[in-house]
Amino acid sequence: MMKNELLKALYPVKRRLRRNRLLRGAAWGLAAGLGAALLLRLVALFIPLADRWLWAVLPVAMLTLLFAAGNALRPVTDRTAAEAADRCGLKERTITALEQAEMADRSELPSASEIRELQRQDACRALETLDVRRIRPGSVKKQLLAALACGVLVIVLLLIPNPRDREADARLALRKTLKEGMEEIARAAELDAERLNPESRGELRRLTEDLKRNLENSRDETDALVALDRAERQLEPLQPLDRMENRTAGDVLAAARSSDASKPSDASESSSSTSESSADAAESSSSASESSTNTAQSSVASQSAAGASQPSSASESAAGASQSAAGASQSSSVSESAAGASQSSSAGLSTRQALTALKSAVTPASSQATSPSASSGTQGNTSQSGNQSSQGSPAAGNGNGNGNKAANGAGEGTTNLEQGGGNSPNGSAQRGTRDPNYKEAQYETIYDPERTETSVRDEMTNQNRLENGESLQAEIGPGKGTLGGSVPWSEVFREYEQTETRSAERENLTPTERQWVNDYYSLLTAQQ
Amino acid sequence: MTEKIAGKETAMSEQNNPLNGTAAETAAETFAETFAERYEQIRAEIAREMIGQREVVEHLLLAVIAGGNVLLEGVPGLGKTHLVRVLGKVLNLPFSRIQFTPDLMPADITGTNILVRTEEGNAFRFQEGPLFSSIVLADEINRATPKTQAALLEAMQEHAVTVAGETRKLPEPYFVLATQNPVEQEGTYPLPEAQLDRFLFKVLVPFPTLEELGAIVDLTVKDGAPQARQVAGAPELLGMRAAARAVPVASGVQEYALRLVLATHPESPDAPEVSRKYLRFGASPRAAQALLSVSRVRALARGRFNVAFEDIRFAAPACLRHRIALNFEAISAGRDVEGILRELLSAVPETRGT
Repeated sequence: MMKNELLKALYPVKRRLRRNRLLRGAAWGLAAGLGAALLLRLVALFIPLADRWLWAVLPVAMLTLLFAAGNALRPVTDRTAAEAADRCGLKERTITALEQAEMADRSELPSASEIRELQRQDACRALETLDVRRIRPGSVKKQLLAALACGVLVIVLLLIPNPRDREADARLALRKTLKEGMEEIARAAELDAERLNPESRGELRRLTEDLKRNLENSRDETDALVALDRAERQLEPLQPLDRMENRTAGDVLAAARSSDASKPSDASESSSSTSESSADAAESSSSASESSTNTAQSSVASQSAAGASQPSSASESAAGASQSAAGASQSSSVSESAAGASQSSSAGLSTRQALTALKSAVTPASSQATSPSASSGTQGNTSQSGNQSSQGSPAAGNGNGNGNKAANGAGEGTTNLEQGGGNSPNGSAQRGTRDPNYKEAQYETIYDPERTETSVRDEMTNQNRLENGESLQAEIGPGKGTLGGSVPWSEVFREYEQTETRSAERENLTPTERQWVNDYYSLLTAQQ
Repeated sequence: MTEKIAGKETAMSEQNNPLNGTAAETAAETFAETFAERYEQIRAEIAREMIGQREVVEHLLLAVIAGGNVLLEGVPGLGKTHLVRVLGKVLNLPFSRIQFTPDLMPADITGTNILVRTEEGNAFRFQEGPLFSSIVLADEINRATPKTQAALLEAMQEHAVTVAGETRKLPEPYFVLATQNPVEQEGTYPLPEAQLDRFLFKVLVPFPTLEELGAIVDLTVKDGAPQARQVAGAPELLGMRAAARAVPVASGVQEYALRLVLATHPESPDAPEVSRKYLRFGASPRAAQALLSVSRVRALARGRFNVAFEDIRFAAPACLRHRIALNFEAISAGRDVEGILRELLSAVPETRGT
């Protein structure tokens, strides 16, 4: 009873204290929030952080609210309120009355005393006349000064250009691209699912789910490309029902070869019987040309159709199948044939087109121009999809020509795939037209790990190795090979092979690209 | 040597003490509400004859109501004896004055058994000394020998006198007001710490200001000076004392008083730097009792029914100054007790941790 009256009189004091705590908490929160924002800005100097304005404002708002609410919601005890009231000139009246009331409640006082009652009344009277505005929230000057300092620094750091911010923006853009691409792929997969048998449909669904997960987990373009490559490979065996019904013997053979080519051990086996495979290839090529001719109008892979629609080139290339240089184009032909086969087999799948489109969108522009892996990948893409606009360019056209010709067993050219050698209808006329620096860059990237201790550059020499007058470009260098000018092919081949294989293992290459390297040397071995 | 203003017959034994037990509680309730009014009335009446010295009068009144003894220190001629005399008159209490000298013997102040002739023959009868009075003024107490000073100990603490193996209670209210001259130290016997501790307060009587001195001169050199009247008696005084004892003290306030006392101990872990550096020993637990009892009286005198921090701060210097001893370093550094107490008060926060 005594206490109730006192607590009632203390209520305005408690309310005032809560308000003061709210303000004080907000001041603390503001300082802490700006401190956190400053910390994030400093972190962003080293780690890319997207949405920098959001991260500058969010901690301030969140922590201010959090501190203010936390402080205001913290219960104000009777004792705290009594002490706060006493500090406003009540001279310990309230706390004494409160303690006496508590002791009376606990029966620690013998009996009711008039002086205690007088004291309680005195305290209540004093509380009623107390102007609660005299209860100040306490000084927040330090907090506000700290907040001001942090705020200024945050603004300065926000206005100073930060390379990491650009990086973060690029990453964000990649995420967006991947998301949009994934949606496109999902839509395409839905369309394709209707054209697949139930087993393949389930496979396609699983494939898209895996791809989605992998893309979500990918941290950069490389991760995304790897995921896309994997998806592409998994997509290869899937064939639409209508396609299955209409496919020709050449398709079947190409598909079979593609499945063989996807296995490195099988590839070496198959390369051991060169003439046979060449004959097969020629056969399949002619068949493919027929089928392509038949289906050229309906096929999305116009490039493939264009390459296959020239039987004369195919026969030419078949005649030159014994050339070692043909290994290069043949090497590419292994992968390209896989691409071609899969292209012919799954050309009707819009999922594949969507994948390719996303891959092109993800591939960085710089990588497309210079990076060997990206370049190879691009080539693979263009040859496989056969509908890329970049194929019109001389550079890409060479590669594709080789690839398609090799599929016919008529690969011819140099050990360097990128030199553009070969009897492709497009490529033969443009041999060596690429920028030499570009070619060298390709080599340097491949061989660099083995040549870090030398300043001697590679030399490209022509050696008239072939009796039919075809020139062969051989590469020499300060490796284990001879440094005296022209080096016989047979001497450096093994070294190249080992070096390339090792490099391919170390480099961040996709399995497909790695497979290309292996197949390339397997075929060269067979040629030799 | 001794001067008795009131008759010995006014001495009250324990049996006729007007306030004890439930009577004290009743008195407390009766006097609690009117305490401030009565206190102000007494103070105003004393002020009629006592010009200036407002703080001295207040300290004296607080100590008297709290039931403690007061040591007044000041140069001769400042009205110490007059103040005590006026107090006795206003409170209508028996008053004895003892001028302490080196040849004063304990029996001279306590009383002794004397041989008297009665109708039945010769018999010993106890002749009460000047201690048997409610207000005892021990003038220049430091001039008496320690033996005589020690005779006061029992009277001051126990309010009793033991003569020839027989203990006699002194009347209530009872308090000793002693004076000492700080200037003349030749032939004096400084009070031992144990005896000093029996004094609730040590009050410094300052020299009056120019205005006060003029008023004193005007008042005393002409006839018809205002005379103080009796405004209260022993029952009122004891009732006020009982009321003050019932005043509640918040735990924080009480703790502050205790921390202040502990702060005077240089060996205490919580002692401030000034205490560790300049004090030889600190105040006894009696200091804490004195602080709280005087603060209670002051709270009521200020119209409050609870003790505040400011009451403790007001009472602290008078309670502590005679209970602490400076060390050699303080003396050599020219530090005085008052300065050190001021530093102590500022060094000890009212609430722990602030």
